[in-house]
Amino acid sequence: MGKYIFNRIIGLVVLLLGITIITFIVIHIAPGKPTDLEAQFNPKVSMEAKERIAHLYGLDKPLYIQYIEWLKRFSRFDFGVSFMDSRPVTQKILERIPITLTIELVSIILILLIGIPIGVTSAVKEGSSYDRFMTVFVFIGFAMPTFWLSLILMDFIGVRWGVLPISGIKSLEFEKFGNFDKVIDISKHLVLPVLVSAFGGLAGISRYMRSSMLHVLKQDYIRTARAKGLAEKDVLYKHALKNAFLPVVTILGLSVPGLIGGSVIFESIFSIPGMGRLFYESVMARDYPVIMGVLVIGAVLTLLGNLLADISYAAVDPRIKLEDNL
Amino acid sequence: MNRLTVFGIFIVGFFIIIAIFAPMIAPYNPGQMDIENILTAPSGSHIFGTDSLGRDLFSRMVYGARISLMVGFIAVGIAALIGIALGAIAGYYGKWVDAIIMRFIDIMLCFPTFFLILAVIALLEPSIINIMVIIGATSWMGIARLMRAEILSLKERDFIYAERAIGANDLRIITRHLIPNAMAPVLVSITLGIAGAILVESSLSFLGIGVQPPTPSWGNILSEGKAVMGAGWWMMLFPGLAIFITVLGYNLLGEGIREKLLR
Amino acid sequence: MLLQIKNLKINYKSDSRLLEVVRGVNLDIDKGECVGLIGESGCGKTTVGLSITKLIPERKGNISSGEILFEDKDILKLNTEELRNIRGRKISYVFQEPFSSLNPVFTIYEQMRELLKEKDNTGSQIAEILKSVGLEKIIDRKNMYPHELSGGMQQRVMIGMAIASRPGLVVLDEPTTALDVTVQRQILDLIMELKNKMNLSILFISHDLRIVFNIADRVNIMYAGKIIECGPKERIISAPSHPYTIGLIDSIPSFEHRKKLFNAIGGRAPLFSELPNGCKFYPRCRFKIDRCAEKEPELEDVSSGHASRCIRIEDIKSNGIIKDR
Repeated sequence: MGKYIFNRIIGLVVLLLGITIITFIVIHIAPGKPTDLEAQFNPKVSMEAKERIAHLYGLDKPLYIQYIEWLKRFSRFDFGVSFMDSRPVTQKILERIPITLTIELVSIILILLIGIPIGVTSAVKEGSSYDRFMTVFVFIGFAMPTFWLSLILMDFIGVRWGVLPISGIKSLEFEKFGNFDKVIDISKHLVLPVLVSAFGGLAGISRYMRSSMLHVLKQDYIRTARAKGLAEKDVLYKHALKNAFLPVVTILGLSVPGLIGGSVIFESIFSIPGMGRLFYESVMARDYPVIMGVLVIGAVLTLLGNLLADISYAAVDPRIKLEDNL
Repeated sequence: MNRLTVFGIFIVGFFIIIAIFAPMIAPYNPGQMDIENILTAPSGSHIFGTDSLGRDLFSRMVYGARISLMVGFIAVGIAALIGIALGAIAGYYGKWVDAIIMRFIDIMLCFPTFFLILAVIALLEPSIINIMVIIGATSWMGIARLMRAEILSLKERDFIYAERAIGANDLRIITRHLIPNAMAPVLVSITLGIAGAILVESSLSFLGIGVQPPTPSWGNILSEGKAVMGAGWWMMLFPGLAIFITVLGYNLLGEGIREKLLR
Repeated sequence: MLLQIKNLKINYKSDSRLLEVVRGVNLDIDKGECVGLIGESGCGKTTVGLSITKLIPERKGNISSGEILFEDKDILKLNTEELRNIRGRKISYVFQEPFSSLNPVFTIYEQMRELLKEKDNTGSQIAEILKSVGLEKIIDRKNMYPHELSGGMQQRVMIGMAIASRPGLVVLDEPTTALDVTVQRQILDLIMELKNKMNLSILFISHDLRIVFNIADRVNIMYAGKIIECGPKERIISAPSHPYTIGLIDSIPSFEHRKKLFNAIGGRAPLFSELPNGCKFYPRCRFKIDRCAEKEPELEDVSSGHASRCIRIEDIKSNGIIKDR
């Protein structure tokens, strides 16, 4: 498998270069220079700041040199300093990543724990009223706008019933709490964001798992398993499930950009100080270096998600090891 | 036909009619303020109530349908043009052309699309045209992949060899024979793409970086609804429901087309 | 009798209607006997094979009537648990595609282990099975997955799993069709060897007459969901008594019969959705007369243990259109 991972990493380097090129193009897409744009949207920017940007992006130099210099800084994860508070962009982003990743990870776990069983049972009971009910649920999940769902949950659970907090990740009196209460407090704040973040993915994964399972159940080896006299639960949950789960691993990897992108919406609604909210604030303030930094780091996180999915796939599918011998 | 598909067609048709005949359907001018009637609940004179500037919510929603559908159709139209062209070129020419285009698609897929859209909008002004172009330019990858896969299998068929034998040029073969025959799965993707584009536009408008007030869009109405949460439930209910039902409609229609064409 | 199939009828779901694809099949297998079931693809022969342990998926179709007596008990009346005890233990299968019939994500060892009755000493039991099907060299490779074996070896594994519990009946459904010609021969030899050594009872399903004539004691020929001729192999070869069988035998390319190659059956098998009235074969039959279209003929004895479903067979034979060979 070592060689397989090596090949994958070479592919990733190519993708990374591509990401930098696209980001570079995005920087230059604006009419006029970013410095003008900055001054126009953010009157707070001083002449000094303007010069700093011009220097940061090397706007006076030819395009290819600009790119190479940008690439050099990128390789050190140096995206300059924020217009808003002059702090290094990398540092600003790094302190926001853990909270976003936590929410995403908990959502993914929730999606798997609920979505996989729903998909599998729907496939096993194809055409039953349970299956039809779940199909309707899936369509609702696909069509439900995240921000609307957030508002509804906020209005009822937060405002009307007052069951859960609806803003931020800590209560005002957080510092006075004991350690246990601190954990409880943060968890309470994260319930709604996690639910919202998981909702759409839940529909997707359960649908995908269902069709994957249906496909597997038609395979010859399932007939073999039945012909061998195995109990139906072994046929379904041993022979079929492992095969049906394989493509879902890939889909999980592919859904990472969607999840990260979605963080902008629920983090800004629930005022969660994560990467999505940072990005939103930077966009609103035209905080140029931060926007670029988040864009690149978001893409890198996606890449890592895909790599992780590929490695897990190789770990569960014995056929992948074949490439080792080639 | 599947009952759900019929339901989807009904929804899609319903909102298209509303969008086309908006001026006839809307009882008020969507921009007309009425300070006497601020945030009034739904009643006989304002069936969806009024907003915080006393504008008739129903009329604003009817005009909002125009914006949402227009953005949906045109953005997906752009995505389809890019996707079909690049997918067909990659599939037909193969080799290094294919390798470059596929690599490009992989790179585009690395970016969280919503991040990319926000970043570009941060640089350009959030006009409706910009929004449509940006959504289109960041959502063509799926269509391109489908197109490429279809063309790859189609180009080995006998009728394509026959076309080549009679001396048809590449452009003619691609546009007259390959693309029309490869459209079935792309059509499904386009239909689902409209739903996706409407969702993205309303998300952007909700966040205040999409369609700018006073132009009404379902997303920015909902954003105003958030501001008056607790004081005007109708401001939150109706626009959200409209987005939800429209997206549901296109999804059902897409699934219907998938079952009809691809089985 | 080990197995008696009586008037078996099976419906398949097609769009919104039911099609009868097995239209009243009778078939017997004695202990130690190898019975062949021959027919073109789509004639219902595989369906008959699967129905013996009720392996037809519910979404595809169901057995509408008939009896399947195995050791004098009706399989169709068994509950799930009883059925499970028969599957793989008393009646086992080898299917056409060895590659897709083995689960790709479990090791060969695991797939053999899970069908063993006695769970102790599984290692030596599996070694024993592998040895009996000529796979000594993979005995020690417990981490081997199906994709690491060749098609022939995969089929040996399938055969090994089928005979592992010394079953009363083995259903071989086109066991060599997906294999290379040279490998086909080896697999057939292995089946013959095991049959003699273990005194297996076999239902051998195939479209290939030569293979069936090689291995079977008695032969059933199926067409459009019914048996149209059955009898001892020798009788069928020397005195085929249905125009379809005659056509099949004539289309075997061999040195003596090379000139008859052009007598192969014309046309194609009818779809179950548009079966003709009367004899289902008559539209393709060289000897058809108007009366053939009126009523589907019954299976009638030609000689002892040899029956045919053709109203003209005596005519054809006495007119000297064809001769016994």
